[in-house]
Amino acid sequence: MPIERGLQYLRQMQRVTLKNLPMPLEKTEKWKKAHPDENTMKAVMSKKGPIARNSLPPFGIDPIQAEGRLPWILTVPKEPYYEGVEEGRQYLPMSLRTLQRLIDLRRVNPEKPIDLPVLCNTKLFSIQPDQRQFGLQLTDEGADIFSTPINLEVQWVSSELAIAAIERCGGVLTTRYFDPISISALIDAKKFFERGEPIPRCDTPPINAIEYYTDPKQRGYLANPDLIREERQRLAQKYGYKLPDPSKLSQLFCLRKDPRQIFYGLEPGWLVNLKDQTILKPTDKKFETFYHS
Amino acid sequence: MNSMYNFVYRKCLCLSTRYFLINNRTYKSNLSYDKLFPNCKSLDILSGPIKSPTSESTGNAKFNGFIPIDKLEITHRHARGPGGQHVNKTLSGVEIRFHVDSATWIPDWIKSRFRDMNQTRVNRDGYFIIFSDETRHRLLNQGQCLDRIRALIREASLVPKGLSDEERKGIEERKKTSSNERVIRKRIQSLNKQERRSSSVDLS
Repeated sequence: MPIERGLQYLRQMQRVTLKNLPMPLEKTEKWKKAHPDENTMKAVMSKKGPIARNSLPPFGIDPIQAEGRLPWILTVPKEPYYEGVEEGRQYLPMSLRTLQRLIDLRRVNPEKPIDLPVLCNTKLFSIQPDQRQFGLQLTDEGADIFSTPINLEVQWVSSELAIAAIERCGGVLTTRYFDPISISALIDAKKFFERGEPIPRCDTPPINAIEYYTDPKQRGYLANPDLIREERQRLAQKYGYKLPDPSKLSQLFCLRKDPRQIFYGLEPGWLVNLKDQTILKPTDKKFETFYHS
Repeated sequence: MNSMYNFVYRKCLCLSTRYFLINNRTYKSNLSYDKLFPNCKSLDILSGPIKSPTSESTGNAKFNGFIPIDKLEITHRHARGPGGQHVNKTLSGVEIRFHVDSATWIPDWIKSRFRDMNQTRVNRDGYFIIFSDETRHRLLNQGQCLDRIRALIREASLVPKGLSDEERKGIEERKKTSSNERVIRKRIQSLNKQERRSSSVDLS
């Protein structure tokens, strides 16, 4: 009978005391011997040497193979001065002084909008798209000399003074992004048309450039026109000039390209035939949806 | 093809102006401006409503920051300092003058304080003069002059806040208590001095 067996166990087993109860939080002596704490370790181990003095080499380094020298990975220093140079975008500088000079020598017509193909046709700037050059940037040398109203489109402007110098004379400035395929089409437009390729659709700027091109202070092409107007007024008050009356300006000054458009007056997708003086436009629906997206 | 109006490709790719001013031929992609900014008040950069002040502040209102450039007299002068021939020849220093009393763009309650605070800058004839030649560009110097004018007007417009009734009452109470305590201390000290003296009362 199970009761009798239980009673038999009771007769044989020890009396239950505090010492016999296995308390879960208290550690037995056997466990403590197997897991010595810091103080016992200190008393037991030697008090000299790299272990006691906390000067062991870092993990992953074999002290025998190192033979007292630093491993090769630690001996060669890191000099990150040109880190990210291969990914950086380059813009060729163009000063306001050269622009004014071009206008005075009648190499560029200030009455029509001035953008990248117009400036590249003067053969003063040689832009190489395979060297990660993305266009032209405007520098502020010659800000006091500049005195013609123009509708200018560059790829980068870094100083507020350059923007103010153009708007003071009654001009308009926008910064515009072109991807490398569009740049190779814009640099030498005649050669591009002779190649027989349809006009490309311009991509949106990369993520590290979106902040720049949506900024009204840099007159980005993706910025809100309301905010750009505020910034124009702010600069006019800051530097002390008057903004021109918009009704008196010619319509060419208000002209702006669509964000997907590269050439003024030509749509992406069109094929320009210079020999027969014709333009071929795609009629298939899939091409139309692509080039209008 | 004569339907395509006069498309001529020349060295600088200048299309006939009438071709791309024809409005119904403008190209609109998915990223066109009316789709990117549907809530915009005006898609034109040049003309449209502006929130920041475009006209002078009137009468007793606060100074809104607008300075009419027509009413200032701006002259370009020679700059001072080192720089050789360039500094001697170019006129990169900028001087701005305006008659203080006839300046309608400064509110009246600021004008008198402004004149008093900037007595050193105001002429005998009543003209306020400011000059800047700190940078190499004329535009930047002009900007600096205007910035200084705005800062001086703001300084003149800061009127100190007076004491409120509670503060005045507290100050008066504190004065009274401190004077009472002073009087008590004096009386105690005078008692001390009297006790040290030999008394004239006969204690026999």
